[in-house]
Amino acid sequence: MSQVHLKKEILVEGNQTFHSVTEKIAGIVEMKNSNIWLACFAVANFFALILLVSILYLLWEGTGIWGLNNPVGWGWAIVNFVFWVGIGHAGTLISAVLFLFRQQWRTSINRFAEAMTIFAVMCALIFPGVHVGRVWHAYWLFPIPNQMAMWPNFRSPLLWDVFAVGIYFTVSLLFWYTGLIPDLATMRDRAKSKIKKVIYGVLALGWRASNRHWQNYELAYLMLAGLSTPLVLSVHSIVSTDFAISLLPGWHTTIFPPYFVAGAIFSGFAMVITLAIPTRKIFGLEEYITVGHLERMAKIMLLTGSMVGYAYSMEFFIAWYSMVPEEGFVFLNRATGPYAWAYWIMVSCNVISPQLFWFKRIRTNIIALFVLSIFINIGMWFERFVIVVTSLHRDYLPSSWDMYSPTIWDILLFLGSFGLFFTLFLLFIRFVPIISIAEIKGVLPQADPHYKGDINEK
Amino acid sequence: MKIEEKKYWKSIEEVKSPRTFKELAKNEFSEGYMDTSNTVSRKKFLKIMGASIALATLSGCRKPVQKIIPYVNAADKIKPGIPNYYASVMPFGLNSFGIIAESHEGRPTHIHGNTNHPESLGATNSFVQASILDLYDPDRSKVIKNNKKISSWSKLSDFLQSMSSQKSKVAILSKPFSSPSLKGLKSKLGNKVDWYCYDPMNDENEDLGIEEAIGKKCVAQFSLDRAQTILSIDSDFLGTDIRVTRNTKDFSKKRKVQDKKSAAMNRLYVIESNFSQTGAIADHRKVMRQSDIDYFVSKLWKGFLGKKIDDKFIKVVLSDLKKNNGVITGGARLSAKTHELITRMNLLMRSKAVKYIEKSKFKNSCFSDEEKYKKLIKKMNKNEIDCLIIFDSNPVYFEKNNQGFAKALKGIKSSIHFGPYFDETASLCEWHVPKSHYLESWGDCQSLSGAVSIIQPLISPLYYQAYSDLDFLHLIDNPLKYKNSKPMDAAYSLIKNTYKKSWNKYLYNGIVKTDKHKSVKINYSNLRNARNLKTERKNIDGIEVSFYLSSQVYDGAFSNNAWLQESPDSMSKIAWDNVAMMSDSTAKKMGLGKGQLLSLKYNEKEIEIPAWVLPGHADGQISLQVGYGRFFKSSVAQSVGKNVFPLMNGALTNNSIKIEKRQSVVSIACTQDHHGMDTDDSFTNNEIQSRLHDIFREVTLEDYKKYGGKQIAKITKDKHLTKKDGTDKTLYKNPYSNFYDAKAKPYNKPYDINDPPQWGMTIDLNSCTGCNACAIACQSENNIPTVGKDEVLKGREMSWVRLDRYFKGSSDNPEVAFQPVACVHCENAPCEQVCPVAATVHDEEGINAMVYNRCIGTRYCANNCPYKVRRFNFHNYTYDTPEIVQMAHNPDVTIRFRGVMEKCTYCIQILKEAEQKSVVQKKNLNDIDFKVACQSSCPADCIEFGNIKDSESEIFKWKQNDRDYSLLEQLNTKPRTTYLAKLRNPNKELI
Repeated sequence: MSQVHLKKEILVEGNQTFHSVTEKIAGIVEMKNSNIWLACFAVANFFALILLVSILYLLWEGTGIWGLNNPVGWGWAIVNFVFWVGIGHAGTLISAVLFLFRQQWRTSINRFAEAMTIFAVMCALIFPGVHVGRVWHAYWLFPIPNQMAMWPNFRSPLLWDVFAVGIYFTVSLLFWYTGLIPDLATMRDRAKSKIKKVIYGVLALGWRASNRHWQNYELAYLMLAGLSTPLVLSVHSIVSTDFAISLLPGWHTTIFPPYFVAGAIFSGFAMVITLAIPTRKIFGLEEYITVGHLERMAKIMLLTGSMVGYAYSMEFFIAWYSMVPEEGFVFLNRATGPYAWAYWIMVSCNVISPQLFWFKRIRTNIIALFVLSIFINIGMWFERFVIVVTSLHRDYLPSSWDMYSPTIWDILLFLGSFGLFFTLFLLFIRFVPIISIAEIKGVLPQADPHYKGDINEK
Repeated sequence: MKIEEKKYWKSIEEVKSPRTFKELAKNEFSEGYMDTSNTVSRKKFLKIMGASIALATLSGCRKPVQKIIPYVNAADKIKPGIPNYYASVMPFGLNSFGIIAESHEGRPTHIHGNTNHPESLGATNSFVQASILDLYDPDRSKVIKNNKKISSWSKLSDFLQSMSSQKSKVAILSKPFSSPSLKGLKSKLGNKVDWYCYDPMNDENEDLGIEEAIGKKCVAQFSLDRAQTILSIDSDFLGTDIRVTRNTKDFSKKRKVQDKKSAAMNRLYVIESNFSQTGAIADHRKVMRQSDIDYFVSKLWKGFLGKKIDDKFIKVVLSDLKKNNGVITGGARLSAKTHELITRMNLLMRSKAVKYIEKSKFKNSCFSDEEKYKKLIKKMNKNEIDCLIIFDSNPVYFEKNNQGFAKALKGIKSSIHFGPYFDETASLCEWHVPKSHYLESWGDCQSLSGAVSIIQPLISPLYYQAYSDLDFLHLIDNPLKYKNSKPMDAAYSLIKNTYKKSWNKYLYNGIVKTDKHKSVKINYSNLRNARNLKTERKNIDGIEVSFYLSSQVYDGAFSNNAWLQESPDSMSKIAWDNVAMMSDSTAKKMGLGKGQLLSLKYNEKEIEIPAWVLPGHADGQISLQVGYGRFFKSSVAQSVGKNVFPLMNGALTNNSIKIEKRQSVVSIACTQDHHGMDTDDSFTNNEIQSRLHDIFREVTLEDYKKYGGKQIAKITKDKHLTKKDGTDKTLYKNPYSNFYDAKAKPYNKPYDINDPPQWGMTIDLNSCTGCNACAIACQSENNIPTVGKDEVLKGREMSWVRLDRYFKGSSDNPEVAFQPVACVHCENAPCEQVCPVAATVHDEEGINAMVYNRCIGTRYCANNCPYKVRRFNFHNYTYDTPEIVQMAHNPDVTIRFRGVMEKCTYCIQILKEAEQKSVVQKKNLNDIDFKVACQSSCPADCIEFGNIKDSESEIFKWKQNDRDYSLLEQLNTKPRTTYLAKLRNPNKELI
């Protein structure tokens, strides 16, 4: 019986040692601010400030500053909400689902994918918060006991949203933080200043890397992964019910939950790539986030992009097959009506561009990946725009048909949300190890108990 | 005197170059209750910054509390919270509308029609409804002015005294009116002053034509309920006619169809150039341009006399008119000759629907006389008049092209303007005296149908120096005696003395007496021999420009009324503007896009006005609405639309206007047809047409008689919705469905909380004329804010009732469908399900209630409303409502704050009041007399409202009508408001 020796795939290149991994990743946090970082941070901060101003003006003047009108009661705010929530999907998928499926390649991207998730959900939460007419009463959405004995309306999908997104955010944050604990301890141990020591020390929750700690940690992590996994599917399913539950043609569609989830994963991975490519370049992390990682993500985008494309065509088919005239019109109107440009941007970005990932040369070409990921981000934003606006602007009674166009404040608020996102992301880079040090060590060849030196070099 | 003259001239310079003056005035007048623009000024920026501090520090604070201060001495007969009702009458040119004004704690807030009055018969129209806002207009003139400086009544009296002692020649220029007391004072003044009366949109051609036909000066008076066939020739008797309410009442009486057995309707033929409301409801409509109409009538006359004509339409119409109680109506734009022919035909047909009454019978009326007006201007130019008193008229604004009134006015020695606003004319006059509103003055009116009523004030003048017209004439008559009189003093004693016989009864009924004028004796023998009546067809190569009254601002009298300015034109659905209306092919020929500016030039006077395509408009013609483009300092009227009076020569149609295309495009606030309703966009148009048959259901009378409601039901009932046994096929059991399904029985008991009434509404599409009265009544009753042109442009109009207007068929001469849509109060309401905070819920009476203070403004309900009747307060639209305008608010209805959704409540305040009355007075609920605002205002009686559970109620009967259908029935929303399908009554021979 001959022995078959399966060659283990290399997930971290450059023959790293445990020490070099720690030095490299912790070094990113410990080094002095680079000029690039400072410049990026300044720009991001500026846009975050725009967010603040546009929110303040919104609170002062009311939702009238936006381009909303009578048939189109939801505009960019809801588009942006769905867009950001969608982006927030990749993190949990990478960290929880891939963890459960023992996809070890996820270790080098899960940390910042999760961080991205949390920041994206934070950006997303801004929009439903401020888009309501009377922001100061937005807390009425929560089931808080009150003197009127009034509960919120449990039939309303918006209420489900509050729960779904709220739970998703909480669990994602916990999951992220749990994963961070060993690394925070590393940072604590390496910290030179007193303040850092205290802060990292408090956050590390007294981690001493004992066997007992590891056992508890692994179990907690596994359980949180198990808890997060259904959430990956539920959040966007429920966000999609905001539309699907209504009786508006173009919204009232049963395909929405799976279609939204696929779209969310699609856009989330695109955002991970958009962030990963510059980050690995700037901080020299090519050996950790390898082309192999990017290629895997491209494959997932190919899959989910195709699912999204399938959903688009199925919507058309059902609109025709159902013989509901209004439904049929909405889809024809999307493709040929006044917002056809938005529809075709969506189709070309979301359906056509991921098909290029069938080619390995494109999957492994960093620049192509980056450009396509940007396209997909744009396309997914337009998908939400198409769903929200084109359905609303022409519904049942033609007398109420109207057009919608954003105002400067719609645009500024959206740009501002990117400002917040990148501000948080840049702070994350400087204060937290962007790759899980503890986990990445586990996938090094050296971590193998049977490691016998540089097998690979032979 | 010289110094004064200098000053005088200075102000004229300002008016001479109106543009700069306008700009100046605009800048000067920065406040305005429409300002919700989005531009960020420095001031606004500071406000935001201030807001951030406020947010940080005052987040826990609420709005300041306003305390109610009780009466020290309680006013007599005022119970807080319970309105009083007073009968009065609203003068409207030669006509007047009887009203019942509702007064809350001394403030008139809403107007109902007076059932006793023959010109309103319990209904109103949009002008009457909106006149309440005019009362509280902050732009109204407040003080007597002399050379633009504040002066006083006694100084004016001194001036008038000096005029009379110097034996100066005084002339008065007024607009047409009809009032016993005014006419009495006029004749009293007889030898002291020359009286002139002029209305730029007069019917003098009609008078001339009738005189020519009959031989006597007569006025035609129609009773449309007596006609079975009506031919309207360019006459908008359901639109801007001064007898519009009565006409609509009479006309719609013949359009009420209960069931197929008794189904009968009148038939309306309309010949016109621009699309009027009357044309919209016509069974047959022929479009031709203005100059062709006169030719058409001459052909009609030929046919009428039995001569050979080869026009099938004319033949059919004539035989229909002759056979079935026909009558022909003619509009103001027709020539005198045409009117003569119309009169002859009406008389020869022995039409029962028209009476010709001698002008001399209208003892209390003052008619417009253009010839005399021209003489006045001549006299003024020759310095034959020392003092001109302009009595509630605005001749500087409506000065036509070659009239030269303003120039003459500048030249005369002294002038007094008496009117409600410091308007265009006032700014050129030496004196200005503010006129009080009819709700704050004593007076009387005689309507065209002869009803004499007393104008009873409901409130003392809001501006102390505002005098009524009677007060003012008293002062002119005897300056010494009335030197120290207060507003209403003189008028009151005059009116009281005149009507002292049954004073209380007169006031209570709102009517003194009805003089039914008798028709003049006609010599029928000569009627067939019309002299010189051959009209040649005019060949006009260019484009004709024709002028007509606006159904919003009338001739400019209502142009400072935001409610009317914002109520979209019935046909074009344009608010806050007048445009150059033309047909699609004319626009194409000229290469014009919607809103593209046109320059219209006539004798050095030029205006730039945006072009607009209206289907069903005559080719080769542009129609312009008068009444816009006011150029006096005002927060609403100023710079809305363009003043088209300078383009008019004597007649209401002008063929020699130079038309040039401009490149710039103006945005027009149109509340319907945003984008894609262009006739070129066949994709959208086809879709709309394919939906129409379901949204707006109609059949011909003949089919209805044959098949009954089945013909309509064929397209309504959706098999998917019901199981075989007739029950609902739905997953979700509607908790309220049993109300609707409950077997109706008589509800002969007071309001019972355990067996509450179930409210419902039915709208008869058969008689709706799209007149906007319901929309304005709703605005007044429910404190609905106006939002201004910018917001309407964004599609944020707030009106709870909207009048959907659809065109059907070819764009050259389409059929029109008017459909009033407000919240339909679905039993299975989509909005209620999606509201996360339960701010819109059902009550036990079947009302889809809106809880304003629970609403957080997610707008999800509006998105999910298939009828799109929910209105959102995008801005704080009532934030800067001037205090005086706040007085117009109905205290029974909350003012909605920004960020709150609102919509029709079925006037829940009225329903609750009725229920309370029923309980307190122990009266049966169906004996309580109440009407919701839209229902009460509708002159066509096409809105019925009531308890659908009560088998004896009118609404129950309406709902049993086989024409009854629900809008968007396929959605299974089960609306409480349903519609009665429209019936059209086309002539078989013309189909």
